[in-house]
Amino acid sequence: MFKPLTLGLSVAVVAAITGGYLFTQSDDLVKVAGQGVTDNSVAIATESYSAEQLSVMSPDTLIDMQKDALAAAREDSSRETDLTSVNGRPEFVSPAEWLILNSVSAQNENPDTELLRLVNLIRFNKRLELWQKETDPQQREALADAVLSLIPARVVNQDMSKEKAQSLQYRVLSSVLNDPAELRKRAGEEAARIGVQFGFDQASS
Amino acid sequence: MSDFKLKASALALSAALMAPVAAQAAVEGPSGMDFYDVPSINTTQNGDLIWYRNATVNLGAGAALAKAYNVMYRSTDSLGAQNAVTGTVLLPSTDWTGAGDRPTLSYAVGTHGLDQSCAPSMQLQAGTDYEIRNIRAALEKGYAVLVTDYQGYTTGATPTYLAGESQAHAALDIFRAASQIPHAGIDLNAPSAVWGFSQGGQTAAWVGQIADEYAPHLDLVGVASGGTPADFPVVADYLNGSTGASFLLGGIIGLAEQYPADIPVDQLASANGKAAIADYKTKCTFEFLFDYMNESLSSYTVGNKDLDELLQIPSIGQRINEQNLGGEGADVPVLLYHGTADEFIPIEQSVELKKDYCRRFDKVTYDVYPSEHIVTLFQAAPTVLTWLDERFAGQDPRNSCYSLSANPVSNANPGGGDFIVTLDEWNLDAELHLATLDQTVELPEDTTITADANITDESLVGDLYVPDFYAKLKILINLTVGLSVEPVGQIEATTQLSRDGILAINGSTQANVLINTAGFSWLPIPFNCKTIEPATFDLNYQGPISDFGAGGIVFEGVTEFSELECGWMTALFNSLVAGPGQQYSFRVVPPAPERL
Repeated sequence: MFKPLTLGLSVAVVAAITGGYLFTQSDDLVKVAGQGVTDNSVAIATESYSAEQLSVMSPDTLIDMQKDALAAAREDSSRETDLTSVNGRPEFVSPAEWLILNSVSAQNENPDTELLRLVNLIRFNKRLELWQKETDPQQREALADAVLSLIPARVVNQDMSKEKAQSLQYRVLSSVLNDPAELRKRAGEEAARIGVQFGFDQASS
Repeated sequence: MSDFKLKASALALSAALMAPVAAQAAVEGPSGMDFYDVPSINTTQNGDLIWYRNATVNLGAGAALAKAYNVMYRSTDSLGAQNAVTGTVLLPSTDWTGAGDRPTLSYAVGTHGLDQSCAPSMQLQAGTDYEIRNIRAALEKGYAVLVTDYQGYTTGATPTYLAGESQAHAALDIFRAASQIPHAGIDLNAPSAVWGFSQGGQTAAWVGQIADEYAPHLDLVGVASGGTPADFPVVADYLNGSTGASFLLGGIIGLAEQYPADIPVDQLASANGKAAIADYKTKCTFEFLFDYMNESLSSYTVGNKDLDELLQIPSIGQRINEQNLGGEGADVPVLLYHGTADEFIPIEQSVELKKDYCRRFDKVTYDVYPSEHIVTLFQAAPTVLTWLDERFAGQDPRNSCYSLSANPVSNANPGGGDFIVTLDEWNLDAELHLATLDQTVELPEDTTITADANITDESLVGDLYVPDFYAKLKILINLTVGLSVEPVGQIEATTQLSRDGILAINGSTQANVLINTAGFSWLPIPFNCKTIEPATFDLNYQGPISDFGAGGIVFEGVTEFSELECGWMTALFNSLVAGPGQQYSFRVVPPAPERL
């Protein structure tokens, strides 16, 4: 019952997003789609879509694009660092998401920096989403590591507070570690990476 | 100094002032507390300036104040005996933009306390007067503002608290006194008005009743009287053993000072009562309010005589009843206003005063506030000042005597328990500023807070209500992404009221953030996307108690939204909405009044 409903809503949202126009209506921002990504460690999307093109696509096509982007995020999940620059749409960002991230970052006084931050943030959030949905223990552990690797950068970028970051670290580790001693040791190590002295009671509360 | 010596000195003062000596030119009074020593100077008429001095007052930053003076002037008490009264004259820095001369407003304060240090003139100097907000508001209007201390704050005297005519005389005579300050520029013939609440409301209403006879030289255009104690036996019964019990004790002390032979408090008071009186005379409002809360008058009297027994003593009953308002009309338009939740002064007897005036074909405007006593004092200011502006402009007031609205009924918290300020569906002017989207989201107008602020046990517990809504996020043209807020759990806070009237609230509330719609503006589609754990909004505030009624309580801060869970678009919305740096501002606004 739940999944078809969610899928249906997502279709509608994606359709709505692509049916809209860039809020700033800046041609430059649309043109960015399809350009290369300068960070060589990340797969580059070669397809170029304008808002108008996306708006006439079928919902299934758009959903497939979302799925493809999420699959790309999974492929990318073994890489442990943030991107250092973005000149085009990474494959883990769907065309619709790319339009929106460009639109939002264009309103920032430093649009390029903000776009890079948002791209790295959505990359992290996709890993988090994948980890949350993954049921295979082995895959889940790999995704847990992928999430953990990017948390320090989230703190540095002020995408999350140290408190939230530490709470997330503990939640992720708890999902893959059963041994309390090992859990405590890893939690301490991860907390240190974000500049926090680990307190077991604090993290578990 | 014993009461006997105080009375002796007061009598000596009265005798000195009564000597018919020609008026002298205004003189500058001494600095420091010597200003409050009554000199041996005779004057010829009520309101004549005895002396004045430049004053430094602290009304807070940004007050529209150009200059201030302290004054001592001749007045008369309720029995017609001459006395000397102190006060403050405040000249605005704001230009008068209305028609005619700059108006002069006599602002009659409410209960301040019987100790000399409680005098409005001293508290204005110290910046501790709890009515500063209303005085500032009047100055901002461009009025010259006169604040009498009332009788009894000169050195060695005791205030004749709640002696209605004495207070009205003081509030009227300060007009002449102010006009005699050299070069102050206050014209005795300028349009004038009197505004007060509680004790000040009593004063203002008395002014309305006697001004024509006592001060016919004034161009009095109206009086605004709020929280008015009009029927003294009724009010006394309401206060006795209740949260406002201290005002009853103060009233007995003050009226005994005015009528020592008829209210022989030395004979009536038990040892406990005498100790309480002595202590009471050393304290100001927010000290005795709590120290004498819920006490019954019988605990202070010989033989534990209760209020009814005291009122049955003819001389006492007569003097108490003499303070009743009504029985004669008001000579000028009157604005009466009262809070339905007033826990100190019952609203019904105020409505009866309105009816009394209406029977005499007076022009009475009546405003009903859904608030308790202290909140109404400050909440009413904008409405009162508008009403005064209209009087100064010569407009006819709305006459509530012809209103078909039902009479208001009290919904005050029951007396005899904790002092609780109830916020019953008060508006919350709330907004969030989303960090990444750099966009401000305003919560709907009918967002409300309902809470009990228990001043006695220092707690505040309540609920936040946010109606179903969505605020459109600016992401793409034609795209509607709706964000809403869903409160979680209760508001929990501590609340403290210091003895100088400073309110402190410290607590928090929680709420989830939702992306609840997405789609074209003409076809928003339900979309269930919600933070996985609620955001915490700290609710910390410290400021004067007047902020409660004036909509000045603002909770501001920065919070963090957890990640959201919403299906396929989770990562996108998390990137746009979740995270730290989310600013919020919640302003607590009392419900609007109703004009009958």
